[in-house]
Amino acid sequence: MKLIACYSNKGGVGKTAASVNLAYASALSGNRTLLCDLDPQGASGFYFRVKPSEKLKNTTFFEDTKKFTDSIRESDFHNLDLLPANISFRDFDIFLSRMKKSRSRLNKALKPVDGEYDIVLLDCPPNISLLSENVFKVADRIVVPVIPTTLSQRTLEQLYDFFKKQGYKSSKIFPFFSMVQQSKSLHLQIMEEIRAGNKQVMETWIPFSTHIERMGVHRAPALAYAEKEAAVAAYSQLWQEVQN
Amino acid sequence: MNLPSPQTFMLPAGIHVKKINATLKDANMTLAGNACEPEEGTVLDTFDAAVYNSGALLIQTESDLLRLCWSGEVTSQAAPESEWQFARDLPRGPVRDQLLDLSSLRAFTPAGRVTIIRDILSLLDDEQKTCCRIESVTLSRGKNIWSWLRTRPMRGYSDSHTLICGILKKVEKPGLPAEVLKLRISDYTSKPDIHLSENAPARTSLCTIVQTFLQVTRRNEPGLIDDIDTEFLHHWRVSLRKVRSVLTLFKGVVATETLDQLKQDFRDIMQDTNLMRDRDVYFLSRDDYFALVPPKAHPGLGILFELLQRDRDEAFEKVKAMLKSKAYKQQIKSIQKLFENPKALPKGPQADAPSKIFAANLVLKRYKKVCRLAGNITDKTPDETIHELRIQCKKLRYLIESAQPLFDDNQVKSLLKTLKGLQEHLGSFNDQSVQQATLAECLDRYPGTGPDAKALAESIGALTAMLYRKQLEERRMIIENLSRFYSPDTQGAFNALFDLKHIAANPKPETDEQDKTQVDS
Ligand SMILES: Nc1ncnc2c1ncn2[C@@H]1O[C@H](COP(=O)(O)OP(=O)(O)OP(=O)(O)O)[C@@H](O)[C@H]1O
Ligand SMILES: [Mg+2]
Repeated sequence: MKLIACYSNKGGVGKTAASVNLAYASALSGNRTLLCDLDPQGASGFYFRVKPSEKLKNTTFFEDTKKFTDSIRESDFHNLDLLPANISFRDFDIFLSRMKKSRSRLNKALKPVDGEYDIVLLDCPPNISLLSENVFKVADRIVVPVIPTTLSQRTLEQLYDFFKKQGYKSSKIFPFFSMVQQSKSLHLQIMEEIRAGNKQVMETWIPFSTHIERMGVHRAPALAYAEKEAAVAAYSQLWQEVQN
Repeated sequence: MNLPSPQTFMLPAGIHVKKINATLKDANMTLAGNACEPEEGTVLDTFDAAVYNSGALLIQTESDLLRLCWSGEVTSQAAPESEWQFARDLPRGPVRDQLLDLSSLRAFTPAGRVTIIRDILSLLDDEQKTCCRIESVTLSRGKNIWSWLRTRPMRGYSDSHTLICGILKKVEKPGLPAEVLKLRISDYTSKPDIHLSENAPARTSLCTIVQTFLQVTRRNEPGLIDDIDTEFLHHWRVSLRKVRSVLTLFKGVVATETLDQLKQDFRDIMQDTNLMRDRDVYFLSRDDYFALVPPKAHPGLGILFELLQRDRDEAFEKVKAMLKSKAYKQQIKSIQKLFENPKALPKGPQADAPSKIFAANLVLKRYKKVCRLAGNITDKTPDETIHELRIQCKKLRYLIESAQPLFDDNQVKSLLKTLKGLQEHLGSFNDQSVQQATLAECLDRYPGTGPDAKALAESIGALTAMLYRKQLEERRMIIENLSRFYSPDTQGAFNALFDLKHIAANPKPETDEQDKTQVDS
């Protein structure tokens, strides 16, 4: 079982869009895939029309393996299951801070499904918290969407700093460019700058696209309804890169 | 992961999605189908309804060949592009595999036309999320409709599964497709049930047995005349041989003159079929032969099979003419008539013996005879003795099978299983020696000295060598199997079933001591 997190300490950069489509691409290429929504807003679940998990309240996510596995729902797509979030997930840090080994809890929570899935994707909320430290610790890879702007460049640097300071493996971090607008020369310029200083940046980048934006209308992964659009197909290519 | 198991439902009507949706309203759910186009299809099956009797229908449409197992799954593969008759003719695929397991020798022929609608229905919640899928097949023939549904539960939605199963349970009305659709599924079996009563006179039981087998013979005639598959001839012959064996084995039941006349009749009728069956057997193992010899001998084998094909064609024409002749029809009808009324059948001294005691004695005697023969077989025993053993085993088999309805079914079955194991090797041993003889004969018959003749001779040489080696192997297997057949356990089982005097004297369940009783030889 490989754990892949979609993470950024910045909000609204395309984490959920990437999680949903990467999970779809993973399932399509034959992996038994679980998309685990860690964001209390439950956007991933929304895109798959799955209702919030009622049973996973308070500490049950970390402490009740039966409720955890019972909350997993089959999506409408072959090989793809979902663990939906709910609003109580926003208190994860409070629960975690009260628990022993508070940075290994996520690892433990996922143990019961080890073997049932080949790939687990984590859609993370945008902050640096005890929960994200759990993610940094347990994930095999962390893909980080970066909108090529100066501000995002700074946020990425902050993430690397944090990893260094806390002793997490920064080799796990794989940034990719998200919502790229080729008409903006600044975007292109910043992409070049970041690539120059970071060998781990993915080749594939995701253009800004109304087809992706419309996921909220379709309530399905963009790959499921617009796979032929170049911007959408980029997610499949990104998946190939992430997987290798 | 606790996924509920899929459930199946059948109903003698179409699937009324609207009606189901009315019931689903309270739960805020809907059932959605896809507007699937109906397709025309043909139901296919063998003469002995192998598919239907396995709990399934085989349907071919323009696009698919599918096997619907009504208690399980639908398996499908693309419809073959060309005409096909036998499972082996199909392109590789899951349906082919299933049919090969089910009936590798029989032809699949149309059993009726149906209109088929296949769909996957989705049970949706108020956010249009699928919570359960239901595979459906609806078959119709004229006014008759039969539907089949199978749920595909989804993880995390067992409540939805329970809900839809409850609703489907209410609309379900069990009924198998043949009844509902009035499909003509053959009721032929080569092993019909025979009902005998223990104390009835042997003559009465004999008549029942003979009549039953003769019916099997008669039912195979049309398919044999149309040359649909090789099983028709095979069963036609086996049933007649069974009749002949039973008549001979039930010694003293029928008057000697009548028996002699009947034996002559059977010889006449069957004579022409020997060659045809022999050649059929060749063709059934054609691929094996090619695999047996090195590739350079393949062209020669090709020539050999052309020769055999010519023989087969000629033999078939002869058999066909015979079966269609007035003489045959009259002869077989008069034989049937002879056994219609037991009282009118000229009787021998044993005609009135009570059936069960009579049959048990025969079986036991025959078994002892086989054991005596078997006990003397070693590595050095000549082939003739092994052939003799084969014939005795065959007689024993026919005898037990005929008398089967009079004894405990399960016990007889387990004895038959041991016997069949041995017979298989005896049969192969015999086939291999017959085939070696046929090959030699083919070599003699083929004229000329050209390159063809040389190739033929070489391939026959290679094949004969291989057959000889296989035959030696079978010999070893026969000796190995014999010890099981001859074992104290098997002997005990025979005695327990057929030694009626002994059983009457010791009505308690057998002790270990009795199990070990050996047959005196
Ligand atoms: N490549 C894209 N082109 C156009 N719109 C996009 C693209 N990717 C994401 N979006 C849109 O941008 C918005 C934010 O994207 P998304 O929810 O994926 O980001 P996020 O990082 O998960 O946000 P949050 O931090 O709130 O979880 C959404 O409305 C989404 O539809
Ligand atoms: Mg998000």
